[in-house]
Amino acid sequence: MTKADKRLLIIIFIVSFFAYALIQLYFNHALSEGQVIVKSRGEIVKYIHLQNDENVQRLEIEGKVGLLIIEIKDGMVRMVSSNCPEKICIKQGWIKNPGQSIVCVPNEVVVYIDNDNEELPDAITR
Amino acid sequence: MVKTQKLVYLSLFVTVATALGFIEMMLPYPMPIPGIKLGLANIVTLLIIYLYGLKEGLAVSLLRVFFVSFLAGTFLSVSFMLSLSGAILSTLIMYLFKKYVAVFSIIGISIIGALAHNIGQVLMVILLIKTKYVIFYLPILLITGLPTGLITGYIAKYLLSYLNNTK
Repeated sequence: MTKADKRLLIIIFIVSFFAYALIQLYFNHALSEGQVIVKSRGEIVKYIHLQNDENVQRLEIEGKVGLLIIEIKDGMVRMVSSNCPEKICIKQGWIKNPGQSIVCVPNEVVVYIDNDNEELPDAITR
Repeated sequence: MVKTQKLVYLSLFVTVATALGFIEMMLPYPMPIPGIKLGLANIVTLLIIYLYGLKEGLAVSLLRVFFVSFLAGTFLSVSFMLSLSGAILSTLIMYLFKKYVAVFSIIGISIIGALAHNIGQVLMVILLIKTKYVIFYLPILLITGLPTGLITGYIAKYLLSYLNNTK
């Protein structure tokens, strides 16, 4: 391992770490304003205000391969059911902070929490 | 080196890379971080770049991606596209750094390859599902790419000393 290798390691670590910290900081700024946004095949299909609600809320989303079920509880979101082969989205578990996301690549579904609601439409009709 | 000999060596390397890639698909991962990988097949790509060059490196890593996807039944699926983009980008970047930036050893090049692989995958996800949100995930992937790049780099360094002796 040369000097340059070690420098590379340290630089990448520091840059990634600060990038991660900045992302967390930026999104945690207005935590109470969290919105759950669900995108399927590139389009926003559902968005819900994230609240500390004990009641379990379940959303059914039509993905590219099939139906997905998303659960919202106590201000957290997770994927409960999906028919994708690897189930990575389900294994990921709960997300709760703005900036976090669950992606189901085979279904082309993204669930993410955002605090910026400017680009959202007023309503979705289908 | 004789043409036939080179052909035989490259074919063997493709086989080894395919086996490693397939084994890696079966490895369980303790952390719920989608997209992390040990990158065992990258060892072979790294060796080819050092022993032969870019053309052979690209050929071997592309063939490996195809063969692994045939074996696993994921040909043309999303995970295939992710492997493909990661493999092409990491091979190109590793070669460029090896050739034009002389300060790195094979371990540094391996780390660069791991990072390029991650970046290629994230770019592909952004292209496929048209969400720029995944880019916030990149720092975590890059940090996990450091230890895995180190491990594969050390293995490649160890193997290379033997392969250079036999040549």
